[in-house]
Amino acid sequence: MNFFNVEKEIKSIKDQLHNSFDVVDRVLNLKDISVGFIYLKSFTDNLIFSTAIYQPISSYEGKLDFDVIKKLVQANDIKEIKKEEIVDNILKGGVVILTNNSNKILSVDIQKFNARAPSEPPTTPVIQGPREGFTEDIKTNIGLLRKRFYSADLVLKNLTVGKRTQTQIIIAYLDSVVDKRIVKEIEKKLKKIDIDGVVDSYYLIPFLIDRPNSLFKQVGNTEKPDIVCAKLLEGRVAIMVDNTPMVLTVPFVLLEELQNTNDYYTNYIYSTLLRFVRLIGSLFAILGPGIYIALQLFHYNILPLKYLITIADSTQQIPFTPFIEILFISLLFQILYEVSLRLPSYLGLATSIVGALILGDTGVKAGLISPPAVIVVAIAKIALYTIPEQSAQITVLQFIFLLIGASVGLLGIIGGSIYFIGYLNSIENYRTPYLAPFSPFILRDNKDGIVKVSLTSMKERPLSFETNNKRRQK
Amino acid sequence: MKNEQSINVWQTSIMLFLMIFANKVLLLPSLLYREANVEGTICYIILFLLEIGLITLFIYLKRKYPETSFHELIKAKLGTITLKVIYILFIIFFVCKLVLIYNITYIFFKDLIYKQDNSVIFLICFLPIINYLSFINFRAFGRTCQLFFPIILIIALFCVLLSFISVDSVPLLYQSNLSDIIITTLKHISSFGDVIFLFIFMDKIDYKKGDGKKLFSLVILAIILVVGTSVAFYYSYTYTSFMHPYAIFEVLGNIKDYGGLGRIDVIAVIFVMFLTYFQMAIYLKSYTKCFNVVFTKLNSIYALVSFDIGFILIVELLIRNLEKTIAYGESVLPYLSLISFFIVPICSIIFLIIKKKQNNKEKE
Repeated sequence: MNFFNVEKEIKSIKDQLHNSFDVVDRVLNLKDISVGFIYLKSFTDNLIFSTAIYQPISSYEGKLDFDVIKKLVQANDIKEIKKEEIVDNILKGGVVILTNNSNKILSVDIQKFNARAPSEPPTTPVIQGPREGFTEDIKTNIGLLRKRFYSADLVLKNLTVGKRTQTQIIIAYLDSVVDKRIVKEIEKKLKKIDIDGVVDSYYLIPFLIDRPNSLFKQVGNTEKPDIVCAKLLEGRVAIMVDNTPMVLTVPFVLLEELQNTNDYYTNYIYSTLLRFVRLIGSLFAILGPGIYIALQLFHYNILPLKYLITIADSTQQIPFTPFIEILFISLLFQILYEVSLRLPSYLGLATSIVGALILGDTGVKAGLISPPAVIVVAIAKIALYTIPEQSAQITVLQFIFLLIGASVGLLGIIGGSIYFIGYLNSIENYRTPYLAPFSPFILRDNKDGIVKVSLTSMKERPLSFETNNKRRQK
Repeated sequence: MKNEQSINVWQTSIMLFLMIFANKVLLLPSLLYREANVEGTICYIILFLLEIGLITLFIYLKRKYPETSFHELIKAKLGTITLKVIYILFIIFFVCKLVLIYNITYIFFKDLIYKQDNSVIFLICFLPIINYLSFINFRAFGRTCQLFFPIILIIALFCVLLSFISVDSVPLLYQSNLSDIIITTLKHISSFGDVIFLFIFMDKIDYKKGDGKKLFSLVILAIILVVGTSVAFYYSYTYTSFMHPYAIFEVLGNIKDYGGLGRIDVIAVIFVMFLTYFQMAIYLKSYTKCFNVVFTKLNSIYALVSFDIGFILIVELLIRNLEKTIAYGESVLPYLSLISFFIVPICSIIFLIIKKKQNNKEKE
């Protein structure tokens, strides 16, 4: 039988790792055995290595062989691996142990890095309800999910994607609830991915949907374990990616963007009111500036006289055309937004004050922009954040409708609305209509649509997508 | 087996609602009054009965041939040449209807809210949208109609109910004799027969036993609303109805600046915009389907491109004003309406008779 030449083997492994500076090797030459250790110092816990692996072996006084070493190592995650798996295990934070009297290889996972503790995610703050958020560590994230399901029904499937990053991906679903065809479809799509690396869960989205070039979001994403838990209970599938707190959920419908975490932890009548506000807010954000410009340029004759006089009074001194005026204010806001995102918070605040108060007020006083235009754009830009997850899409649509309104008026705005609704209706991922439960109209799913009913009335899971088990409660 | 791209009966009835409403509440009431006075309403009822007959025929045909398309039936029972001839007539019919609808709405919008004679604006608005809607699959289109339907229905109810506010007198009936009514009915038959699209998309409509009630519920509602609009219009303007061309707009025009909200009649304009887009899209979808049946080797892109070129030439060169449009609608189109009210029913009845004979043979 061929046993390892420990030193020669370690050299070969180091060569495969291109002799990186953080590769550490130790050879322990004892009476009748040589034990070799190799690991990455940047990615393993040195203290655990010394106390739980190196010390017990080096101080053992009996006869050492592979099986004794295996018993001496005081760690939870110990496994025997094949020779071709050595590099992979080292790269994932394992300590590989070789001996010269055996051809077996031991890998001990003592991976360590500074992961942040679960905290409230900045993207979805809540007034009531759990404040935990996912972190960049997939093990922590799995734990956060597991502690919400003390049931074997939660299935976690492991995959690796990315030729160079070898990123760990977990597909999570409830076995008795989910439609297995969706899981198979997701697995198939993920396994087909041939990419260098997956840096964030966003990298997977284009591969999971049928229309990757679309403006519209087609996969749900959240940083909150309670949201993922609720979606799994509805029969959806969650996809967790290592190194990112963003967990993806599919199938996704547009209605999900209208729903907010707070809706489920507060009175349902109030939630309904808030959803109406969100809907009206987002519609105003998309169509408001376009309609204003269409009325001003093409259909001023349909405005009530008093309003027409007010507008005429405030715009007659403006040197720009109404379209340029609105476009200028919109772009100014967008610039301020970009700046405030990237500046430190103390400077961001100052920029907002300069932008909103000084530039706006001075612009009006200088006669460069009119007060009605500032009001319309300001309301539209604020309304944009009634659905913050869709703010990017709404911003693009706002500019499109502004252009349509300025070019062809109200007829174009109605035509544009019909076009976009037609387009959204043609999107279908995982046999789920994107605009369900509004079109097609599914009465039962509208219990959690714009109108939200009490939890006691929501006895079934959504019908918008396929599930294995329709009943939620008796 | 259920067709993946098919639409359900509610979506079908919504499309029927849109088609029944579409071009019947704008110019038609005024034109009917001009020739048949208040009895124009009777013309409406006669023509709607014909449309109900067509829908009933469709239901019978769908029951007997649930999975078969209309063109497959014609091909199988009457031969390929007959199929091509009938479908070429369909193509001409749909193009002519599209031209008529476009012109009516173009003149309406140009006069009332755009105040400028720039047809490019209207072509830019209509053509890309209806091209896109006829390009997407039938199911997505059905869902789009479904999503907009509540808005359209609310506006329709609002317009019709509010239009009765302006009623100030009840004109006398029996001003026209029977022959006037019949001649007017035949003259304006081209404004009806819009339900013909049901036959074109026969294989893409899911129909189960008992769905007839669902299908007729919105049809009846649409008919009531259309007749209601014309009645409100005649009762609002009585003897000067013929001087007011745009019925639904005019009845709301009587209550301008309602509650300081501005001109209420703008709601009718928005209503007409929605209806025009959907009606034109349904016609263009039907045209595309017929084109693909006639020219089997050419795909939908060819159908749409050929339509766009032909359409721009016709509307830009031939018809640009209200008088020409009315003349066109009253002279050319009534003959083409024979397709809706003559050829399609005859074909359907032939198929039903054949099916009955087959069933009898099988029983024997």
